Amino acid sequence: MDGAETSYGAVWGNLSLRHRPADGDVEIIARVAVGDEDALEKVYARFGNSLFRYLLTLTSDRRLAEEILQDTLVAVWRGANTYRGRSSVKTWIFGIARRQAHNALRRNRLPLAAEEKLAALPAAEPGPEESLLVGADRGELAKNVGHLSPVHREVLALIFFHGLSYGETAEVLGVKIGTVKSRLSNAKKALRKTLQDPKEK
Amino acid sequence: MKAAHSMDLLPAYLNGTLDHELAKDVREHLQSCAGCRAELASWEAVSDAAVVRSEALPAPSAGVMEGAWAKVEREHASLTEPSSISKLSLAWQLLVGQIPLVRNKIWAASAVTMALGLAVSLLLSTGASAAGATFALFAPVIAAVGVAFVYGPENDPSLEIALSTPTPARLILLARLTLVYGYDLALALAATAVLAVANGTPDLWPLVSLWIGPMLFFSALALLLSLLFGSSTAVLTAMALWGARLAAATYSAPGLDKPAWAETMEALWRANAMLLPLAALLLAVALLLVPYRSVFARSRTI
Repeated sequence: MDGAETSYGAVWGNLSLRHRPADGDVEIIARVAVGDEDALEKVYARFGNSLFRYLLTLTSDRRLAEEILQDTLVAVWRGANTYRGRSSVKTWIFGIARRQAHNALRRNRLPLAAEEKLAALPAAEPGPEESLLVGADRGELAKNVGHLSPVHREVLALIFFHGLSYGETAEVLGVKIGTVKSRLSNAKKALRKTLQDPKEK
Repeated sequence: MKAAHSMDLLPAYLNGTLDHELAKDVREHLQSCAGCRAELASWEAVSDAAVVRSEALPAPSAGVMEGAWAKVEREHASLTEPSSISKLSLAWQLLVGQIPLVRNKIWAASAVTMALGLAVSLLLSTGASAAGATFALFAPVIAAVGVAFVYGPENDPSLEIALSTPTPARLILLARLTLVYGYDLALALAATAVLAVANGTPDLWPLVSLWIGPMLFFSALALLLSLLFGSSTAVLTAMALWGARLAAATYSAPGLDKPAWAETMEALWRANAMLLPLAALLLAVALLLVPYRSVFARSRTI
């Protein structure tokens, strides 16, 4: 069992390698780095929508999210020459967006959601409760995702909507891969709880 | 036993980012483990909900990219082209910042000496021109002594810090020179105004022209000497020159003409047309030397 765990751990670290981005992305960033304005427009065309949706999981304020999106583009324009290709362009840009979001939220004195502040939830155990999620109304479940804490909304969005690997998600969030997994598990439990106890929405 | 591990792999298995080998393992395991299949089904529901939720979020409005370019422009403008107002305020800050770094005795000493010179000129001289000439003897040496203490390790406890700041040594020297010289100039002008009022001469320029040239020249000389040989050498030299000038001015043995050296001295003293360019030249040399002098001075005093 220990041996198996170790080998899984080693593979997780390399997950992002398997999920290599299009070389086109790297080339676009290289062009941004030399001051090509069209290239930044391409970055926006390629990532603007998904970045904006990601930012809206961190703040529900649309104006603020647009401002953070602009800050992110400015930061990409300024920092493109620091991109070293160690992670995919998408991961790199999402990481920038997250830092810009945190700066903006701090500037506006809005609280930053932290996993530590959430009540600890019991350990994972498969059981009859799983059927609760499976049998739930699709629309209601999606609405309840919006009622989760930002930190849970965020990890669910990064994994399932934006399709990042554990390694990439950990990089964007600036946490360990183990934290990504526990956040995912906690997010699922929190979502299940919204079905059990609708008053706590 | 593998079931426990597969559990936290399921989200990555679902979104297709799992390593190929691992995905195969999970797939095989799922076939034999009903618990994990149930878990996968619940993750599918969660994944589905997360996707539906994110898809429902709006797209950014049309002007976002233009707004980003505007931000780039604004940052660029504030980084590369400080407005003339901020340049002025920078110069002002530099000047004000130097005030506490100039030896505070310079201010009082200059004022007292200038007042003394004024008093002597008023009390001991008879007639307007004589008083002006007497005062013209004092003004230059006061400024020169002040300027001699403007710069250098023995005068500046913060020189170590100053040398390691991005503000160039030349700029610091210029700022202090402006301060001290401006102060002495103001003192001398005020004293001249008092003289003019006391003697009833409304026109200041004839009086000012008596000391402005020598004052500039003496100050520039003292500055250069203080940079080359230290403040005390500069003060001694200035004093010696001043003594010679004083001797020339007061040399009056009855029945004898002034000797040639005294005549020359007095003529030189009045030759503003020659003294002013000379002062500018000395100042230029001093400014040229400052950066090297700073390092040199530091190594010498340690």
